[in-house]
Formats: sequence, C-alpha cells, structure tokens
Amino acid sequence: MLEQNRRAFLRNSLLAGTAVLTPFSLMKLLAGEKGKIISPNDKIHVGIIGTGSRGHHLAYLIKEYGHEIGMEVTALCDVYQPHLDHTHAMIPEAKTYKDHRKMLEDARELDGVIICTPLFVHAEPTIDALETGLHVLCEKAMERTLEATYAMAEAHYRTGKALHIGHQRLFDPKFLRGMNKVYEGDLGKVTQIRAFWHRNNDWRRPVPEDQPELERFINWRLYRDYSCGLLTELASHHIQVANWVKKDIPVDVRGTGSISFWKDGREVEDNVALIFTYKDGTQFIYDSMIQNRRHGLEVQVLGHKGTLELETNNFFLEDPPPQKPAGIIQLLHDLEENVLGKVPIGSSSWDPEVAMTYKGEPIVPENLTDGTWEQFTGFAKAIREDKPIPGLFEEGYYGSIWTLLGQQAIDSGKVIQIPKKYNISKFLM
Amino acid sequence: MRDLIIPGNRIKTELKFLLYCYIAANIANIYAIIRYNTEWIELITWQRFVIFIAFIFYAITIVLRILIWSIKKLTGASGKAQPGN
Ligand SMILES: NC(=O)c1ccc[n+]([C@@H]2O[C@H](COP(=O)([O-])OP(=O)(O)OC[C@H]3O[C@@H](n4cnc5c(N)ncnc54)[C@H](O)[C@@H]3O)[C@@H](O)[C@H]2O)c1
Repeated sequence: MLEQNRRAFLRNSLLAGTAVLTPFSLMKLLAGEKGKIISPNDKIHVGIIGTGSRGHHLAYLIKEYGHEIGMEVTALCDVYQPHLDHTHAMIPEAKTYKDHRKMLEDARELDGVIICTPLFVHAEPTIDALETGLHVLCEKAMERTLEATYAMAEAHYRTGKALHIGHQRLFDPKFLRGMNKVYEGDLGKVTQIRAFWHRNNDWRRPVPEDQPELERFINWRLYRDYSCGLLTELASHHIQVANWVKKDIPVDVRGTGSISFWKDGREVEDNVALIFTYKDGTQFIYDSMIQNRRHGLEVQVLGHKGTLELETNNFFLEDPPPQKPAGIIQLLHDLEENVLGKVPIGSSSWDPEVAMTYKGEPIVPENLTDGTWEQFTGFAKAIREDKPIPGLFEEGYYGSIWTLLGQQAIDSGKVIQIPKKYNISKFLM
Repeated sequence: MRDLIIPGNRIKTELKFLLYCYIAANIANIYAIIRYNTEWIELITWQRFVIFIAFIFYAITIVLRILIWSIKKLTGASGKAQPGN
C-alpha cells in the first residue's frame, strides 16, 4: 500500500514537481544531433564508476528497484579491487573494469553512467562520459575546484547530454511539496533560512592495518587536496536547497571554521559556520560539526506566515488555526455560562490553565523516502528522452560552486562573491 | 490526643461514593465528547482532569450529606424508632 502510494505520488507529482525546480531560465539545448531515443520498453543500461560506499548503495538500489523504471547495472568500474569485488559479488552479471576509459570504450552497451568516485575524481570520468555521448548522474558536490566544476558544466552544455548531480533532495517528495508551499506564498516572505548538520564521530573509514599507505586514498574526505570536508560532503546539499527556496543564488558568503576537536592529522575543519546573503536581504545561516549530534540535521525556512522544517517533514503556521478545546472543557464552559450566567467565580473563568501546544502539520502525509531512489526516476526520464530535465543541472552547479566559495570565505576570512566567469547564464541564453 | 477511629463500614461507603463520582465524571466526559464532537482519545488523554472532576463531585456529595444530616438533626427527624413506640 505504502509502495503504491509512493509510486502514485511520484507519477503524479515528482516529474510535475520538476517544474517547481526551474528557478533559472529554461535551459537551451545546445545539442546538435539527438542521438538514440530509447522506447519506454527498452532496458536502460548504466555503468557505475566508483563502487565504494555510495556506489555500492546505488548499485543495490538499482538491483532491487531498477525494474520499476527499466534500469539495470551492466558495468562496474573501480581502481580498488576489494570494492570492485564487493559490488560485483552483488551484481555478478555486470562487466568489471579498473579504468573508466576502458568502460567507456564499450559505451555502445551503455545509456548512462553513475559516478561515485571521490570528489576530486568527478570531472575526468564525467567529461569523458559526456563526450562519449552518455548521460551522467554524478554524485555531489561536483568537484574539488571551481575550474573543474566549470569544466563539467561546459561539457554538459557542449554535448547536450544530461548531467544530474546527486543532490537527492531535489527528488524528495517533502522537499518538492515544501517548495510548492514556499512558491505559493504559504510561508509569506522568507527572510531567513537556517540549516545545520551535526554528527558525533571522527568521520574516519578503517584502513587495512597492513596497508597504512592507503590512508589518504580511503579517508580522502579528510584531506584538503581531495575534499573540503563538511562543506563538500554535507553542506552542499543544504546550500542547494537554500538556492532552490530563493530561486536565486547568493550575493556573497562569509564564514569561519576550525579543527577544534578531532586533532588527528586531518586537514579539513570539524566545525564550520557560514552566512550566505541573497540580494533581497535573506540570510542563509549554516553550521556543521562532528562532535555533538543532539540536533542532528535540519533545514528551517522561515517566513513571516510560516516555517518549514524540511528534513523532519514539518510545517508550522505563525498564526495556527484556533485549536478546538477538549469536549469536557467545552462542557464546563457551557455550564459556567448557562448555570452561573456571566458571574465569574474567582476570576473571569475557572477553566484550568491547559497549554495549547501547536505541533504543526506534516508537509507530506508519509515521509517514506529521501529522494535517493527517486533521482533515478529523473535520470531514466532524461535518458529515455535523450535530453536533460530543464533547470536540474543548474541547481547542482550553483549548489557546488557556492559550497567551494564558502570554503574560500573560511580560508580567507573575507566576504566572497562569485567570480563572473563561473556564472553559467551565458549557456542558457 | 484521642485516636480517631473510622469504622470499616464508613470507609466502604466513602469508597463507594468516590467510585460513583468517578463513573459520573467519565459519563460527563463521554457526553461532552459526543455533544461537542471531539476525539474519543480524550477518554484517555483527559483522565487526570476526569479524576479531578470526580473529586469535586465527591466534595459536593460530602457537602450535601452534611446538609441533609444537619437538616435532619435540626428537625429532630431520626432514622431510628423512638423509644416506647
Ligand atoms: N548524495 C549523497 O547523499 C551521498 C552520500 C554519500 C556519498 N556521496 C558522494 O559519493 C561520492 C563517493 O563517496 P563514497 O563515500 O562512496 O566514497 P568511497 O571512498 O567509499 O568510494 C569511492 C570509490 O571510488 C573509487 N575510485 C577512486 N578513484 C577512482 C577512479 N579513478 N576510477 C574509478 N574508481 C575510483 C575508490 O576506490 C572507491 O571505491 C562522493 O562524491 C560523496 O560525496 C553522496
């Protein structure tokens, strides 16, 4: 039943919801030739590059639920044999590769590629796959540097192939409905967005004892050459959401960060705070830490008429509809008025003080998914129609660019704006 | 100071009164839920308030009983037969 509801919801509103996520002008397809259009009955064959933690999970999802959208994994690629073997054991029918270029040489057997390599290894396989004529779903954030991120964007517009970035909240029903509420004015004027992501662990992956030289390869997210730590791995999601709420990108960002707790040789902050300002004066206030998990994660969208708490599926009105008192209280009220008339006893009323606690309402009735699977629905649609979903790439791009600019703000202690050359509106004209 | 001795019968009677009051308070709650079309869960969630009401009812019965007893005393009426009758 739940499964049916979820599917019906997706059919009716998910892809309709993508109209919601066109905060930027419609993308002009630069593609010259259309390429092959797969009929809805044909199977979509995808390859996964990077079969570590995320790649394995996505491979599992496609193996389990791929039949719903006619998608299957037929190729796997990883430079690290234990990871490749682990995922291959789950999908033995898939071909395996240790070099993504070899996999792309067999591209005629593929319709799309999913890239789950570490952040600093996103651009090369993405651009190679796009240039081979394949559609790409690349994990967030896009890349380690602004230049590499821009190069991916350029390749996407040049080839006209879809490049989806793994900001799965774009496909999460509660976020889609939440955005509708924002755009329909249910929250009034939104002037502040707050988000946080708190954990309490050292964020390390185990390194084989006999191969300590693999430390940087396995724990790449802790080292500056490969990652911006909490920003690219976590904040990127919420920065994308803030831009989505505002249908805009920030004017500037300022921030601070430190390695304040996990002083174990890591190079990325374990404690960060950023403030992004939008041109209408809205502030997006973000913080993240990995030494306290009391508050977990949340995105709060604060308007003068209401508040969204998107991660926990809650909507609160500033002036909630009056709550109906319990029956027995109403009975006492009537008795007081009918039997005693308007003569007050002691005070104006002898109702006991009962707290009227307003608990808000859910954004969607059932919070069943975080959008990770649903993003494949969008990816399958792009592959079948052989064209990107308008507006989707720009969300991922600016979410990634502003994440890197946030890191620049922390490093420099300055207020950072987007350099003109990273503005991609020129591709959209 | 003299010990106050409450006979077993009296305790039984008072407990019975308390029980009747509790039942009456619940009936009032049920009536209110139907009349004002509120949630049946209030039968549970408002139990503390229902118990409070039950004690108010009980206090009222005490007052009423004292009143009746006093009136009877004043008018000389007694439940017991007069000697010699
Ligand atoms: N969207 C989300 O919620 C989410 C969640 C987790 C991770 N991610 C993203 O997924 C990506 C991978 O994260 P992870 O946790 O799986 O990391 P991981 O280290 O577990 O996996 C990365 C894999 O890529 C392989 N690899 C490295 N270089 C390669 C190359 N040149 N060719 C092929 N394979 C190569 C590694 O051997 C490893 O198996 C990151 O970008 C991360 O941010 C996204």
